[in-house]
Amino acid sequence: MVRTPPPDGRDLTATRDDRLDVPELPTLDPGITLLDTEKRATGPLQALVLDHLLLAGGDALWVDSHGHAQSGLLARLAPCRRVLDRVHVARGFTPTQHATLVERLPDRVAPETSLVVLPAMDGQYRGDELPTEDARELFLRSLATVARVARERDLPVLVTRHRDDGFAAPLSSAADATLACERTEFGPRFRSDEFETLVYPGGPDGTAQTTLAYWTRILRARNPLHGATAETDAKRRGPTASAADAGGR
Amino acid sequence: MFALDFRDGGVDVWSRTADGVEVARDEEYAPALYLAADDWASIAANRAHVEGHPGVVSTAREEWRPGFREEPTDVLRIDASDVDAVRPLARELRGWERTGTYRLFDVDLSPGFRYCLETGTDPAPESPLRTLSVEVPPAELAGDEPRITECTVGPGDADGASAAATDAVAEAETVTGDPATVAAAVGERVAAADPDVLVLDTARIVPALFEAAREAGVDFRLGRRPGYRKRAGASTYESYGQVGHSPARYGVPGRAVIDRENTFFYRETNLAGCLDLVGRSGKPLQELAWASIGNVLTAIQVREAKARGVLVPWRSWRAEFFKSMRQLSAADRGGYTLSPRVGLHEDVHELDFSSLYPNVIVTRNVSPETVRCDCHADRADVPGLGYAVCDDRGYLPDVLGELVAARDGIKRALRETDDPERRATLSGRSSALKWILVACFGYQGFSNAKFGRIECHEAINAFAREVLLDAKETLEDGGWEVVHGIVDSVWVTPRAGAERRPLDDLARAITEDAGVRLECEAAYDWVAFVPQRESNAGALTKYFGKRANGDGTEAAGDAEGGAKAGDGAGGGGNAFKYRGIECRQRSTPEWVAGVQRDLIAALDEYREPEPVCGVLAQFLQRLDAGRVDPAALAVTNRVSKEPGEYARYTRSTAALDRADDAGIDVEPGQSVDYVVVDDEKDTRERVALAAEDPESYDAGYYRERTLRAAESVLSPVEWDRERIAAYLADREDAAVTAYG
Ligand SMILES: [Zn+2]
Repeated sequence: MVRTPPPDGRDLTATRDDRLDVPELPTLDPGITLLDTEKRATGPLQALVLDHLLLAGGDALWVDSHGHAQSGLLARLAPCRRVLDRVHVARGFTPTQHATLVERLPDRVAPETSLVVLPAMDGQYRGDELPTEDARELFLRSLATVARVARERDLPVLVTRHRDDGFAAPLSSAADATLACERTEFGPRFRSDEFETLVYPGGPDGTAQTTLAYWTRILRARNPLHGATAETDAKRRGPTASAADAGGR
Repeated sequence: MFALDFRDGGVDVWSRTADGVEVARDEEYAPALYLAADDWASIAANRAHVEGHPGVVSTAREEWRPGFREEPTDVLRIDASDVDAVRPLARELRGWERTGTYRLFDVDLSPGFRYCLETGTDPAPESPLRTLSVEVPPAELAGDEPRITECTVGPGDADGASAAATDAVAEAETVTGDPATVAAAVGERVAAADPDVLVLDTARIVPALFEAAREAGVDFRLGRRPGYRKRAGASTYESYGQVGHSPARYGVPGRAVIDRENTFFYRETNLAGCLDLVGRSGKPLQELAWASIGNVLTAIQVREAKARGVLVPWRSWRAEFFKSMRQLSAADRGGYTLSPRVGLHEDVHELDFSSLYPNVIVTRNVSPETVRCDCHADRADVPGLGYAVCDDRGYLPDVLGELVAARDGIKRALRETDDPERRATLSGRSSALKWILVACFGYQGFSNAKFGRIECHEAINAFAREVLLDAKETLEDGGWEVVHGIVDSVWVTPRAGAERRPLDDLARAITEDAGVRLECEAAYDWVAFVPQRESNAGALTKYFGKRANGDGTEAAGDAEGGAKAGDGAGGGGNAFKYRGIECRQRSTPEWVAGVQRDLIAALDEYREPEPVCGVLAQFLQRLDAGRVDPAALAVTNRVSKEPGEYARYTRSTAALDRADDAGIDVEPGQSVDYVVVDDEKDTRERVALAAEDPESYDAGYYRERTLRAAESVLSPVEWDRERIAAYLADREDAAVTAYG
């Protein structure tokens, strides 16, 4: 379900053998994509979300857990501030809160919604707040809701898991695609059944860079791709998904 | 009413009247929980099943609001057979809640609070309570099966609770003997004094005394009826607060037990403070005594909710609203802080907003159901966040408004009375309310708070920030320079060459503008803000200064702090204020702290670094010459781990080893005092225990600590460690030359 960016008639895609100045990132197709990372997924996750919004336009609904929605980080990654208004986040701090937010998703999805993001989707259900059986059932119910949203609204849904174990197993089975992101000495590499790329070799000191600086560079470098949609942004936006989304006074 | 006993499916309600004690038996009481669903039909379909449960007495269809933002709807009221049946019943029904269609309400209320709430009983005692204390030396309670051979029964710390309590005995009496004799004697004395409140050093006394009596076959009572009850910890009754270690709680029939080891409000206030909160929260004294601030805040809100026809959710299904990343980023900014301007400033005034957060809640109508309301969705009322705040009055401002007003009244009364007992009563009550008001803001952001809402927390923060920034601007326009600002206070000094409006004037204008009172909290001849180590930025809470002559505002400001506050007056009389620097740190040796205070006094006198350094040199000379009393060099160290858990062989480990050798048992959490005798060693010879009366010390080690303390004093006037060292070296050279 994950493929390289469409050629679009322009010669902008890069492959491993034929590196051009625009780095490659996987695109997110409708259905659930599980982003599988070695450590906390904040960097690649935020980069993928921003890239998707800049490329495909529209808004993202982000049901957060375990502090992945770091606004400061996203702001520093984002090539333009405006895109931050298009990410709508609500955080679940308990299993019941997370479940409530997921339950609301079907009503929240609007015509301009182009992506749903659920980092550490299993995370809240693991605590000792609820009896294990109840928590597991609540998790499965949330997962079913998310899968239904992806299917019925034909939307890409990006999820990560808190831990890779038996509890999270239903998440990988429900995923339509798994996208592994690993760090290599040449920089991060995305890999799925249909896609493999070293994102951006980016010079000899690739590994020495902080992850943040790394992803910032990638997004900047992909600017030529984003340019086209950035202009139509305002037009596409339409009525905002959040009624109380006024950004200050 | 002052105590409740739940037994045999009924409730004993104890009251004190002017003539004595009365007990009434309530056999009818059936605690109620509620079941709600999307529609009544789904409940009706299962009603027979619920009624068939052995723990259920009856059910009824009632109209309640499932949340502050929701309309009244038909719910099922389920009357349980007794308080102990509520939770098992809820656990069984939870299977339904899991499906998401059903929600349970009014489940986790503590029994006494629930009884008062549901039956409309006022838990505040009608007449003054008789109090008695029972104390046992800590050593007697060591081990799993303590044997008590010494016990003191005395006046129950009626410390200022004059109006609310009387001592059940006049004099303390100590009984000694074998455990059975002690138990029998304590039982007799308690029976004779017949108190309503038992104040215990630790409730572990209760099972120990009963056990001793049982073994000896002696009849023994602590309560007004036989036996005692062990109750589970807080986490079982109420889900608010951390899950973790909660000590067992013991109760005896017909009396309220206050366990000094397990009480926040009795420790931080007094019986009058506790009883004030009993009235406001509806929690009986026994439950109030062991409640956390959050418990009490929750209870107050629960009462308000029920009064408004709103049920109490069991689980917090309420989640935050979606907001844009930009809003999230604005909300993440937190409270206002302006790093202190490092240096010594003359003529400094501290101005504080009184109870800023509660007042913001009250004046801006911030409440879980008003922030981001649906009816004014298009409005942007909260600065920086763009949230709407409803015009309809919220419940939280009502609740807190009452508390703020009550505290203002108490503080007024406090200013008008000299009577020590009355003052103690009033200050206990004021302090109790202060804790509730201090906590109300943080509670709103707590994810498990029964009625909290994150947007509320964010809005309070944003409003408070705006209040501070506006105040700063007004002060600057009025000819003052803001040298420090944090959360609810600003520090100003006259701006050179500017035309100034008087501070009182400005404070009045700001108060009017903000709707929150800005008070001149303190005036200083000078204040020095200390930079962080290895940085030029000011450390937020490290400063010292000299109070302006005749400035008594601070002492009058928070009288309930009383002897417990110790914040301003710490150490050097009343003239100087020290904050965050070495002389205020527990681990600093007394002598080093004294040197630091003397250096500050020297700085006050000369306002120049050189003479201060001169004073320092004299102290160091004495230190090097071995003329300092080693006892004044003892370092107090709180032990945080078991001896074996320290990774390196530190001074503390050395001290612990020595303590061990001496047969002294130091548990984590306790302190050990030691003097460093040879810091080069990595054996137990590195230190000596203060108790060993060492005759010498490691001058090099203490020189280093003294220099650190000196650096804190001199860094505001731009003398760092190097500069100090250079000055000292010059002086020593000069001395050598003079003698040579
Ligand atoms: Zn409204």
